[in-house]
Amino acid sequence: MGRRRPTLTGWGTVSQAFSHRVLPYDRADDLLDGALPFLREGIEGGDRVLAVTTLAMHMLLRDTLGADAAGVEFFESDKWYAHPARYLADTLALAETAAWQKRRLRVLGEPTWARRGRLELLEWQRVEAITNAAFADTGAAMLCAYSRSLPAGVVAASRQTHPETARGRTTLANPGYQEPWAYNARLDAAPLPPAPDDSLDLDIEVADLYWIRAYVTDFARRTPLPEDDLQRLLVAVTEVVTNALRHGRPPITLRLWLEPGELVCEVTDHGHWTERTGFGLIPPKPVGGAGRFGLWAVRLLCSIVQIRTGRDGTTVRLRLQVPAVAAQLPVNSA
Amino acid sequence: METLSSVRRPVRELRPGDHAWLAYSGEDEQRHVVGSFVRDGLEAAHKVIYLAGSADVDIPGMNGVPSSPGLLTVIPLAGARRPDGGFDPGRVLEALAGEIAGAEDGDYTTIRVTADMTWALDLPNGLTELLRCERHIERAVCPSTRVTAICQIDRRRLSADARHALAASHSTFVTPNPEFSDSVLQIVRTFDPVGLSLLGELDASRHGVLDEALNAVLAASSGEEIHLDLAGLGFIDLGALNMLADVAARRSGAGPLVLDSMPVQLRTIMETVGWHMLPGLRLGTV
Repeated sequence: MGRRRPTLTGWGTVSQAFSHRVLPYDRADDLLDGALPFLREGIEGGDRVLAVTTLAMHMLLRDTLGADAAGVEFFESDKWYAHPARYLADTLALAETAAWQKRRLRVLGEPTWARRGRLELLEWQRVEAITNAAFADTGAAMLCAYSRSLPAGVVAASRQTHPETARGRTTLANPGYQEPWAYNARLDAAPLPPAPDDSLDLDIEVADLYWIRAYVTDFARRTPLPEDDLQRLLVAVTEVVTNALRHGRPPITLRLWLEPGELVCEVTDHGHWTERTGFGLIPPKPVGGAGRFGLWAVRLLCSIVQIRTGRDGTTVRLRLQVPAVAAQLPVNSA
Repeated sequence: METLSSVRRPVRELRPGDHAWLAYSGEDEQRHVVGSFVRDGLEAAHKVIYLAGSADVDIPGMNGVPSSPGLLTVIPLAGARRPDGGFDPGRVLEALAGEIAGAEDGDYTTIRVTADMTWALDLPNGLTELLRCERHIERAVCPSTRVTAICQIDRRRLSADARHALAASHSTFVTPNPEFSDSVLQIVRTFDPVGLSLLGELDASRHGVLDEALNAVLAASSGEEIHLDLAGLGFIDLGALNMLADVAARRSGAGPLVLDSMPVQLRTIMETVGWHMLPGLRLGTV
């Protein structure tokens, strides 16, 4: 799927304020009580209305909405919420396009939480938090349905990442809501587990990036990483090493290892990112030519990107999912 | 297309005994390639024999600076004009052979010969006459340990059959010197369409040379589309893509920057990152 975002010369302004609400539910009726007024308000107001849920919920919504269902576009959660950065890019593009057309994007979403690994859960919770910053100027209305049957931590976190809770037609402020960058900083406060002892290490002294790619390719070709993901990894690692060579401090080390279901590529240096350095969490606006989009692009290219920076140096860890076939290399369970 | 039987070789790699041909797409390409040939020859004190339309023609590669006396000989084609106004190929070849023989008596290490042979196509049975001339030149060059020759033909005047015949009669097809070349990356100017051909891998280790080559092609263009032939490019980094998008943005109003023959692995990257991130870039022929 290609990333699409309108190239705008001026940003549309939308009179409605951005909203991002969590809708916790036990039974389908609870969900409908909150979702139906939300959807109907959008249909009547001429919004672009999306329902991103499971197929079963599509059926239920269509049945209940009747003829009004024609004013709603239905998408499947599994496909919509497939990749954190790509989700953010695509949905933000829709919101900006709608704003440009003086419309409002209205999304009833049911993010996929089951079957997510621990790190994936954290990335999607980060996306929920960042949504408050990324969509703030678009006027989008987002209602996120969370089943109470999800692990307790997931629902609790949703109250920290959504400013408000919807219950039926009423809205309550979430007292535990955290400012997006504070939430993000808290996620990154936990140190990364160390790289395994048997990682493949390369001290980067030679400036020719060609050899670094040859090294990464040699490693990746002995794993089940698909060819197109290898190309994505090579672009990502080239970008991260280029940044380290330009802005970081030696020694710079590249490490490669496998974890269950993931290839991990880590670049460390002894530099320290300043407060002003963006972590590439929000898509840059493509206005007036190309801006710096390196780290944001790296997030699009990899499954998960972990960044830690401080007085002890900087670590950027790139993770790419690998298909579950027997690996020929030792698998570390870090 | 010209490589059916000729070996492609940059002009700087031509060696004595090579009888190469150049099918130029226009004056820019002709002056670029022939200019390198003449300039390198004069700088190395080689003998340069140039068959031109008239004696006072603007020889490419001279940059307005006169060469050392005796190094450059211009044979004016006008001197071989018959009373009826046509050219007598016999007299042209005779003059050329005479100059080559004279130079071989001198102590030049290398004798560079170049001739725009497009005029031969204007003769009755033009292609046959052209090929006959080429055989004559071949006989003068091939056995020599000192003569290197480039025969220039205007490609726009050639049919597909004529291209086949010319490829079959020349061992070498001459190409422009690369703008840059090392073990990882090669950048070559293209003229039809105007642009660059990129081969190998491109990253921050070589952003500077890309910038130079882009600026050179932009300076030489007059607002038309600029094409980058990426067929041979195995890798491009985000920084280089950014540079291309910057060039496209600077040219707003002029023709776009078109990326031709993008390999599938590069296209995967573009689609993942999003074309909108790189406004002004356009995908050309697949």
